[in-house]
Amino acid sequence: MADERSMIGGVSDKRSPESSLRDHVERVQHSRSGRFAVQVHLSRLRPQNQQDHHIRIASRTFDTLLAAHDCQLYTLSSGDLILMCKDVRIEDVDYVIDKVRRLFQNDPAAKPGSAAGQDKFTSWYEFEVDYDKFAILVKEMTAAADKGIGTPEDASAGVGQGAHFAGQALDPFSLAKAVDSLKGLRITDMINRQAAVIIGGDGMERILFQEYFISMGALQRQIAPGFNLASNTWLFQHLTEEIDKRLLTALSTRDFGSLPNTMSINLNISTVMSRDFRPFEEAVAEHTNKVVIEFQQIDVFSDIHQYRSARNYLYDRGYGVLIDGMNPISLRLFNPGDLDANFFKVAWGEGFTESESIEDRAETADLVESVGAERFILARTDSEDAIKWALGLGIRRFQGYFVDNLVQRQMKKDGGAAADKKPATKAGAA
Amino acid sequence: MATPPTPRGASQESLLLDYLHRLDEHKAGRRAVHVHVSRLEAQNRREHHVRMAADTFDYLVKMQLGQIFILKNSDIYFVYKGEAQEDVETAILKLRFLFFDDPMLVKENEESNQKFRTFFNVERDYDKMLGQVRAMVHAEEEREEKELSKKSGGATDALKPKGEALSPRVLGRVIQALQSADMTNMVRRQFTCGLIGKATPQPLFSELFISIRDLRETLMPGVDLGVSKWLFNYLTETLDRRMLAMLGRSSDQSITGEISVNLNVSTLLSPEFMVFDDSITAAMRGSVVVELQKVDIFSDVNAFFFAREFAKDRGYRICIDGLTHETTHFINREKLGADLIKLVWQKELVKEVGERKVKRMLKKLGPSRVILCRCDDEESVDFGHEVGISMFQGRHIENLIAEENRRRELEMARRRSQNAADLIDD
Repeated sequence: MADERSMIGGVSDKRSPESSLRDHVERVQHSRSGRFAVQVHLSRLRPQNQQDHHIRIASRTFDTLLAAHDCQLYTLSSGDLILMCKDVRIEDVDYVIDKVRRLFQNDPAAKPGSAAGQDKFTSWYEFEVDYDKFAILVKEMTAAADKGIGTPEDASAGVGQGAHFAGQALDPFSLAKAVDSLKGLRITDMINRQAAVIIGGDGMERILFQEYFISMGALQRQIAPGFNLASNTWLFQHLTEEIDKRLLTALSTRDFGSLPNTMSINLNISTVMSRDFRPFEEAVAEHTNKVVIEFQQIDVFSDIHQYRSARNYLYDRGYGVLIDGMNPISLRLFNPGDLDANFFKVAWGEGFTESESIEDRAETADLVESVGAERFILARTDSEDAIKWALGLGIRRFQGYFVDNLVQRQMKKDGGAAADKKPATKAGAA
Repeated sequence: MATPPTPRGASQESLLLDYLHRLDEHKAGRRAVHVHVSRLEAQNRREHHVRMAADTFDYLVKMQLGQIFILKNSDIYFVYKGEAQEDVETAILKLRFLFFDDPMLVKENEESNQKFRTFFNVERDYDKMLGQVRAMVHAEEEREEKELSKKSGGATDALKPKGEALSPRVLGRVIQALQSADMTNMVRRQFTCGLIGKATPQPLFSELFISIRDLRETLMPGVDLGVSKWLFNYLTETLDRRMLAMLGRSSDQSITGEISVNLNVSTLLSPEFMVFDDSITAAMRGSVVVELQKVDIFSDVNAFFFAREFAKDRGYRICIDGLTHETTHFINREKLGADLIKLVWQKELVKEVGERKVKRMLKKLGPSRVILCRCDDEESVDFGHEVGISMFQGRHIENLIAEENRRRELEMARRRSQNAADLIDD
């Protein structure tokens, strides 16, 4: 993939794009008139917006400009773009940069600054004035690139939507092997729990339910070391069907009568409709009101008809139904009210408030009100900001790292820790 | 390819016949009900529906009040003791509720009751029941025989495939085979036409796709693609890339003109798409419609937005495929930023959903942007016209085009022969 981030429209060799840029800058040292450079800070975008295809496509946006004018584009190791121009109209460059902003419209880092000099997405260098400053910057970048610094670190991408664990992409054969090893795995020890709670005016009121889940990070290490289980949506979804079976078998040994809290589990709709659900149902017996089944939004929309059947089936028997995998942006796209589930789980992501316009906010508020705030749960709550965002909409149900602390404190206070001795944190998978 | 042997055990039909024979001595007070699940719409007859329906009788079986038989055609036959009559009626009521949206059960009257279930008094109706069940056994045997001879004849039915399930390993093998397979002869095209009143259909663009039926028959005979929707989606990603490669290097005149291709969002962001994008001229991009599946939008809304912006910026048009009346009202077309929407034609649009509701739905979507697809018969077009749709796609439209072409050819032949006649006259 190294080639992906090299100079576009120029000679490509083994040197870093930074050093090619440095040569270019040095070459024009004595003809600064009419020249300027623009740095597009793609590296300031959220990690999930900095994958190879994002950088590749953002750089393509400059194609027409490069074809018609005297300019060149460099894609740096950091993911940033540098556009070198001579006698190009600023409006023409702005036009392209606006297009790039639109690509990343849901990322606050791409928002235009409200006043001059406040734009965090681009930096402009006019050579007649800023040449020296720019030349130093490029020198520093070249030195850093040669040392291998400046390559984006992938680890931080493990949180939030479209989570990417490090590792090789999964293919059908490696998936087959992973499924094989899953079959022989003792899974009971890998089941973690995370509470969803109701928060009132003065802190946590009570636990809504405990979600039982298999930590994807741990599972990946066990069944597919070196691979990224979530690298392909469809293969990952298939894997979850296999995980469902194991999870259900493991949970079928529990005594649901003595469960201290409601249990929630994430399942595929097809699993609920299959024989694999039977032993679990028998174990749950008459305690169906203590179990909430979570379905993923993608699964629901892949076959609404089947979702309705499954939901009716579960409702008839007294189970609760939850739709998982939504986020504030998908809330702007569709109204989940008609899905008639007990709960909707909206995953918080850093920066949603920054990319949210006043209209977006008002629309979301209307939607939450019409569906019923008591049906929404904010998941991946990792900060005060998240809680504030949700409370402002009337949402009082939460799940996430930030909440786990509350739960632990509450449990210590209640002395109820014995029943739930292993409160776990949920990996950012799925 | 290896097909797991199907156990040729006794069918439920013959078990039922057997049971009835044994009942001969104990007919008094016995009753039976035949629930005609097979008369419901196909979408209500999937395996899990039948299982759920059968479950309704579960506790009566457990209490040894009756015996259940699930017939090959999904019908349920329940023979029970008279004392359970009320429980059985309750069970039937539950079943009606389960299938409440089926056209047969929409109206709650005696007629729909009669169609849905038949009660028997075993003592009184014994001979009639025996006759019916014998006929069922006979029909079942015949059907099985036909199937066997079909198998030995080597014919496979792509729509109702049986055999090896699509597992990750099978998928891997199929994809390997795909790498070297020549797929140009598997590409099909189907037109989306403007169709107003009785005027001749005006082709707007044609969708190019790889025939899954052909693919199955050549590369994976015996593989059941229906069992895992997720793995099937993965396969489509591979097909996307092959399609793009074919389109990109094609100098074939038949592939020019306004076209549409169905792609995964991930494909739109892949290097293969960039290569395709480079290989066609800017002017041509405007005549390419990229179709995206609705499920793909919900797999990652962010990725969808990104891909959409990119595609639109390059000049492609975006169409959201696979929407049904059930999914459309969740979706805000304007916010999705789609140029076109494909709404799947279903018979239930006429009766259960109704014109008024569909019109309201279309108003929200913008009727001029909606294509009614999978139109198999005239009824679909008539309905589309009623509600204000003027773009159609499907087998019926293909027939109309073929008809029109034939008419034109005939007309041309007539003119030419007239020319010839005129020449002779001269």
